[in-house]
Amino acid sequence: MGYLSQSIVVGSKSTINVTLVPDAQQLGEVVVTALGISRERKSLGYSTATISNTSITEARNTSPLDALNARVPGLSVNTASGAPGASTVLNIRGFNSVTGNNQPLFVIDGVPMNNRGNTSSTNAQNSNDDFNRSMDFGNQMNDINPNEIESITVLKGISASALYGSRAANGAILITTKRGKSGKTQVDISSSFARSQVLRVPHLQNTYGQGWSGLFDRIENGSWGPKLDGKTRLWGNVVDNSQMLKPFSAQEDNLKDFFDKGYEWNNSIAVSGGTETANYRVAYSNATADGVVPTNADSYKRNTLSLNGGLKLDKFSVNSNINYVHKNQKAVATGQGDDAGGGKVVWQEIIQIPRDHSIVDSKALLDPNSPYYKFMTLDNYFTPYAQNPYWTLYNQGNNYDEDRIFGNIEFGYQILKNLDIKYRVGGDYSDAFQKDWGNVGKITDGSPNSTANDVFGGVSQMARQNRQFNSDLLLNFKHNFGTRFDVQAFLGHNLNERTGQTNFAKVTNLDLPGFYNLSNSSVTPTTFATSTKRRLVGVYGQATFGFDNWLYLTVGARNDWTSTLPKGKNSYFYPSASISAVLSDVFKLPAEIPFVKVRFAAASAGNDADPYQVYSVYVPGSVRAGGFGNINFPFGGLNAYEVSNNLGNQNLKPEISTEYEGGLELGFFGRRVGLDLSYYNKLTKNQIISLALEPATGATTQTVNLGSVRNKGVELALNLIPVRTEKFEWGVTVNYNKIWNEVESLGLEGGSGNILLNSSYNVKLRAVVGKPLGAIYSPDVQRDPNGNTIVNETTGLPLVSSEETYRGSINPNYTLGVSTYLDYKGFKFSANGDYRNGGVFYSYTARLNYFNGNAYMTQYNDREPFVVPGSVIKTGDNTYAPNTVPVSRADVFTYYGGATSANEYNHVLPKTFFKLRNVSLTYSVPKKSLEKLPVRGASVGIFGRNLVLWTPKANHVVDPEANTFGTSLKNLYGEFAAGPSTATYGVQLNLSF
Amino acid sequence: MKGIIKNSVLLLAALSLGSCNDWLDVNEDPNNPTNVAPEFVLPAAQASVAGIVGGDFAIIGGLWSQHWTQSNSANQYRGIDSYDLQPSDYNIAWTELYAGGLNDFEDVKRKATETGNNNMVLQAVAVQSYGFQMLADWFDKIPLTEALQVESIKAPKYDDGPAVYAELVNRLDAALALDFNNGKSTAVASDLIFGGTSAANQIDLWKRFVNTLKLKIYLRQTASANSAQAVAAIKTMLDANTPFLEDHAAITKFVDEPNRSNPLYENNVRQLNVSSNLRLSRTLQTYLQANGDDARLAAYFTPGSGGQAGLEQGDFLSGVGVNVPSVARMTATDPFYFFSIDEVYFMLAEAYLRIGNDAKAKEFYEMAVPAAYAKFNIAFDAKKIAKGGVYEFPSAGSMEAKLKTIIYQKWVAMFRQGYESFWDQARTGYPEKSSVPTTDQKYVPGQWTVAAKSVLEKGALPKRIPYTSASRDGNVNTPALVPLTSKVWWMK
Repeated sequence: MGYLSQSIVVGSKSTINVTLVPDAQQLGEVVVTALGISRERKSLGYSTATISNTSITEARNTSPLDALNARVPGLSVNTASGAPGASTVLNIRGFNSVTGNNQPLFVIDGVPMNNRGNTSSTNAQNSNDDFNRSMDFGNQMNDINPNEIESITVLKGISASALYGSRAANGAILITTKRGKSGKTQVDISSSFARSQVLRVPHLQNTYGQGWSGLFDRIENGSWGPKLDGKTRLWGNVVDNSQMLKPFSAQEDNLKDFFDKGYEWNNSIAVSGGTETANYRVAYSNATADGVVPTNADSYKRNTLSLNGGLKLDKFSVNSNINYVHKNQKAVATGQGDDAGGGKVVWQEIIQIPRDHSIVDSKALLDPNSPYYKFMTLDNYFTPYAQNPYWTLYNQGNNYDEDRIFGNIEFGYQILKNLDIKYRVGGDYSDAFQKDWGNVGKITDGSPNSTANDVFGGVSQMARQNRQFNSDLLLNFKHNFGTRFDVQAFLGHNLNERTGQTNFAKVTNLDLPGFYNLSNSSVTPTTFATSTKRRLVGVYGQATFGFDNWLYLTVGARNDWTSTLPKGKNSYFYPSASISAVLSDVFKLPAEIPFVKVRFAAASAGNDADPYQVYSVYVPGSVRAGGFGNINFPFGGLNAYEVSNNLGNQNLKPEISTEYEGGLELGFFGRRVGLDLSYYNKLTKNQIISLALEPATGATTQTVNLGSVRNKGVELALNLIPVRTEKFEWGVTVNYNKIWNEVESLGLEGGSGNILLNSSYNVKLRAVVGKPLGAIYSPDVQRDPNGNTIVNETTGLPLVSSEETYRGSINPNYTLGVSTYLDYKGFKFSANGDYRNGGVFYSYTARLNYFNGNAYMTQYNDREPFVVPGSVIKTGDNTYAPNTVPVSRADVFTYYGGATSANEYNHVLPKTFFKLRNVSLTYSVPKKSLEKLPVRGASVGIFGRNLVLWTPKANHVVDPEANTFGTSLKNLYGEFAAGPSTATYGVQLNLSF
Repeated sequence: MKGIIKNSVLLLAALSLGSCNDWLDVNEDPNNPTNVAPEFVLPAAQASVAGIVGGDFAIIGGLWSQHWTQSNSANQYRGIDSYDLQPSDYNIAWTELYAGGLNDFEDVKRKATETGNNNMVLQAVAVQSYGFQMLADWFDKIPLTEALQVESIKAPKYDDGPAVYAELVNRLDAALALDFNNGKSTAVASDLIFGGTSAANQIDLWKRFVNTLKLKIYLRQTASANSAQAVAAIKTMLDANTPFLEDHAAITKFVDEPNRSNPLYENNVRQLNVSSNLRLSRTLQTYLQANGDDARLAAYFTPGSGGQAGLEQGDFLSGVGVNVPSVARMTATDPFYFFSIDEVYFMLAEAYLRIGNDAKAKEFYEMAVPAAYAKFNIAFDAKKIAKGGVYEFPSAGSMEAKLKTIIYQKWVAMFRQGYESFWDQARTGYPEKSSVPTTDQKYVPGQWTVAAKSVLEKGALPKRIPYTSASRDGNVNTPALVPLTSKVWWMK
C-alpha cells in the first residue's frame, strides 16, 4: 500500500509523483512500475515529479521540453517564440548562478546530454551579442522525438541530483526512453497535423496616421501624423510622375495580415517486441513545420531514428540505445538590422509602418508586372527610413543542419546474489552547419531614397561540433538484515569529457547580387576557429538504510576532479543525506487520512568553471572604432594580438550550492485528494562570476569566486479527483510555486555593489545585493518627495533623474499551473493552463512603437498639448509648485519617443500572463469494437496549444514569454524585436497493431 | 556501513587519481597564445588609440566644435548635440582606450624593456601618453599612476589633472633620455605610423612625435594656473631648436572594406543604419561663406538638394527636408592623424607667439594655412593669407588678435579632428561664444552658438565628458559626477 493506488496506470494522469529507486538505477533508467512506485516512493527524502508520455504527447508538441510547461511546481519553462524549433529554456527552483549556467542537467537513459543553445547573431564570435540580426536555431534538447519518451522525471533538489555530479547543481531532467516488452510484436503509428497562427501582435493605436510632429508627411515612417479621417491622400514617392493614393484610415490588422498560417506535421512509427531474454524497439519519426512568416523562412524539419535492444542471459545483461537525429531549421532574424552585412530585420521593419498603411500591398515588389511594382522597389519605397519588408524577406535566408548521434550501451553482471556490477558508456555527438545570407541592396544615386543606406550583403558559414563522452562504473549492493533492516548501496566511478569546435567564416560586401558564397566578395573574410575541451572524473557512493519499511535514511557523497580549475586545487567533495518516514504506517490515523509522509534532506554540490579561465592569454587584434565598427587585424598587412581583457585567475575555486529541503505528503479521502508540499532553502556561494573590472586596470573581466545567491521556495502540488465513477472521472491538479530569490552578497567591496548582466538603451539587467538575481533598472523622471514628476519649467517635459530606478525582477512573483481532465467512456478531455504573476521584462518592440507613434499609449489627450499629469516644477532647493506648462504639440513626440531617456521607463513591461497551454480531446476506440480488426488500439483527437493569452492592461505590446536573449539567465530579460508568438490547433490519429 | 562507503570512496579515488592528473591537464587555451612578442602587440595598441580618437572623439569633437551637427532626420548623436551625455555614453571609448590600447602599450613597454629595444619603448610611451592626454582632456581626472596594474590594483585612484600632465611629461622625458645606441634598439617594422624605415630614422621620427606631444601638453596649459611654467617650458624647447614633426603622424593604411576603414567612416557611415547623421553646422557654414571659402566648404560637405545648407547647431527638430542640409564628407580611406602637419604648424605659430617671436609665429601660420588646404586636397589661393586676404596674419595687431587669427584658422582646419579645436576654444575663447543664433542679424559668422536643444543652463557650453559608468561600476575611487559645464582644470 502506498500513496498512489496500484490501480492507476501510468499514462492516464498528467502528473504522477513517483519514486526513484535509490540505488544504481537512479543513475540509469528510471523504470516506472506500479510496484516500484508503491514500494520505493516511501524511501525518498526529497521531491521529484514524473511526467508520463501521455502528457508529453497529448498536445503534440514537436519539442518535448515545451510539453513540460506548467506541469511541475518549481520547474519553469520558457519558449523563446512561436517559430518552429524555437529554443526552450528550463530552470528548476530559481536562478542560482549569477553569470554561469542555470539550466538543469539533461540525462537520457543515464547518460548526460549536450544542450547547446544555437542562437547566433551578426557577431557570431560574441556570444553576448543578442540584438544584431540574431537567429534562434533552437537548443539541442528540443530535438528529441517526444513519442519515444516513456517518461520525464524532474529531480528538483540537490539532494536528488547531487550524485550526477557538479553539473546537476541546478537539478536534473531524466528522460527515460521506451523499450521493447516481451510479447507479440507491436507496431505503433502516430500522426498529427496542425495549423498555427499569430497569437499576439502589438495592440496599436488606430487613430493617427502617417506623419511626424502632428503633420502628414508622405515619406515618414511613423504615425505621428494627423488624425485618420478616411480621406484619400497621395503618399510615398513620386515615380515617373505618378504617386500612390490611399484612404487615410486605419489598417487595423495590417501586422496580422502580413503573416500566413503555419502548419506542422508530426508522424512516427515504432516497432517493438521481445522475449523473456531479449527485447527491441525501433522507431522512426518525422516532424515538418513551417511557421507563420510567409515563405519557408521559418521552418523546421526533423527526422529521428532510434534503435533499442536488450539481452539478459543468466547473470549477464546488456542494453543499448542508439539514436540518430537530423534536423534542418530556418529562422527569421530578430533584433536590429545590419546594413554592413546581412541587412535589415523583417519584424523591426513591419512594426514601425504607419497605421494607415497596408503592409501586404508592398508585396507588389514580387510582381514586376504590377502597376505598383515601381513604388515598391528599394529606390522608390515610400520612405527612406525603412525597407520594403518583402524585399528583406525574399533577399535573406539561413539554414541550419545538424546530424547527431547519441546513445549508450550498458553491461551488467550479477556477481553475487546481493552484488552486481554495471558499466555504462554513452555519448552524444553532433555536427552542425549553419549558413546565413543577405543580398546586396544598393540604392541608386539620385533616386528618392538615395539618403537611405545601401545594404552591402553578406554570407556567413559556421560549423559547430560538440561531443560528449561519459562512462559510469557502478557496484550495487542490496541486502536485508533480518526482517526489519535492509540496505541498498552503490559505489560508482564516472568519467566525462566534453569537446567542442567552431569554425566560422564570413564575408560582407557581396559583388554578384543573389550569389551567396564566401567567394563573392573582395573584402577580407572574418574567420575564427575555436576548440574547447573539458574533462571530469568523479567518484561517488550512496547507501539507503531501511527500517521496518517505513523509515529510511540515505547518505551519499561525491568527489569530482575537474580540468577547468587550477591544477592542485581542482578536487572538491560534497555530501548528501536524507530521511523519509511514512508516519501513517506507524501511527494510527483517522481513516480520512490514510497516508502521511514527512521527509527531510540536506545536500551540497560543487560546480566547476568554464574552460580556459585560469591563465591569461593574448587574443587576435580587434579594436573598436567607438560605438560602431572595428579595426580588425590583419590590417595594413600586419597581424596583431592584444592582451586579453579577461584576466586569468589561478585561484579559482568551485562554486558550492547547499540545500535543505523538507516535505510533507498527505493523502485524504481514499487518496482522492493528494497534497505534496515542499520547502527548500538553497544557498549558492563562491559564485563563479565573470566580474566586470574597471577598464583602467587594464582588463575588463576576470572569472572570480564572489558572492552568494539564496533561493527559498515553496512548492505545492494538489491532486484532486472530485468525481470518480465507473464511467466518469474528473481530475484536477494545481501546482503552486513561489521562489524568494535574493543576491545575498557579491563581495564587490569598493565597487558598484552590482554586476551588469545586460543592457539595452539604458535599461539594465543587474545582479544587485539585496535584490532578486536578475533585477531590471531603467531611467526614470525626476520626482519630488511625494513622487510627483518634476518637469522643465519652460518645456513642460519631465526631467530625467540621474539615478536609475529598480523596476522589478525578471522572475515571476509566483506561478500557478492548473491541469484538468475528464474521462468518459472512450473520451478524454484534458487541458492545462499557466498563470505567472509578477516580474518585469524589457521590450524593444515597445520602444519602437513609442518612437514611431504606433503605441496605443500615445493617444493621451488626443495628442493635443497637455500638462503632464501630477507634475510639478522645482521652485527652490526643496520646494515645488504645481506645473501648469503644457508639453507642446511638437514635443508630444519627445515625450513618448524622443531622445530623452525618461521615456525609456516605458520600455519595461509587466510579465504577468495567463496562457492556455494545452487543450486536447481524444477518443479511444473501445477494444471490443476492434476485436475483428487487425488493429489493437486506435484513438483520434483534436488538440490546441497556446490558444489563449491574457496579459494585463499595462502590456499592450508583446507576449511576455517572447525572448531574444539566448539561453542563459538573460533569457528572461525580455525581447529585442522578437517575432510574434503563435497559437496552434490540429488533429491526431494513433494506431497500434 | 558508513565507514565502508567512505573507505571505498577513498580507495576508488586513489585508484582513479593516479592517472587522472595528466588526463585532466587540458586547460591551456588552444585557441589563443599565452605569449606574444611585443612587435605583434604594438600595432593593435596603436590602432586602439586611433580607433577611439578617430571614431568616437572625432564625432563629439566635430559636434562640439560646431563643424557639423546632428541631422534633423536622424537620431544618433542627439544626446551629444544637446549636451545630454549619460555616464554610459563613453564606456566604449574608456574601455577600448584603457583595456584595449593603453594596457597593450604597457605590455609592449615591459617586454621591449626586457629585450632592450628602446626604439619600441619610445613608441609605446609616445602613443600611450597621447592616449592618456586625450582621456585627461575629456575627463579632467583619470587613473594614471595606479592604472594598468590589474594584478595588484583593482580600484585605481584618479589622479588630478595637473598631476596627470606632470607625470606624462616625466614619462616622455624619460623615454627621450633612453639609450638608443645600445645595439638592441632595432627598427620596428610593425609600427603602423612610421614603420618600414631604418631604426635611426624611426627613432628620429618618434622623438619628433614625442616633442610635438610635449608641445601640445604645454600649450594646453596656457590658460591654467600653470601658464607661466608652461610658456617657460615652450621657450626652452624652442630655444633649444627641439625637432618637431615635419609631416603628418598618421595611419594611412585604411582600405574600403568593413572593419578596416577609417574609424570615423566605419563608425558614422558604414556601420550605421543612417549614414547621414552629421550635417553642416551653420556656425561653420557662415564663417566659410563669409570668407568666400566655398572650396573648403565643398571639400568638407556634400551639398543638399538646394546647395550648401547648414542646420543651426543642435536644431535636430528642424522641419527642413531630409535632403536639404549638407552631409559631412568622409571616406573609408581617409588617414587618421595623430598629428596633422598643419596642426603642428598652428601649434608652432601659437608657441612662437606665446614667447614673443611674432615673426616666427607668422612664418608658421603661413605654412599652416596652406597645409590645412593640402590636407584635404583643396587648391589653395595664396591671396587668402597675403596682405588684404581674408586669412591674413595681423602682423600689426595685438597678440590677442594674432592668437585669434591662428585659432580661428586652426578651428577650420581641424575638420574631422574637432576635439583639438574644441579644446582650443575652451582654452583661448576662440571662436568666441555668440549670445544669439546664426539667424540673428547681430550674429558674427563663426562665433559658436549654444546648441538649440541644450539641456544645460542657458548660454552654457559643455566642457567635459562625464565619468563613465564602466569605471564607476568597478571602481570605488571613481569621482562623483560633476556637471558637464564644469571646466577641465586647464580651461579658461
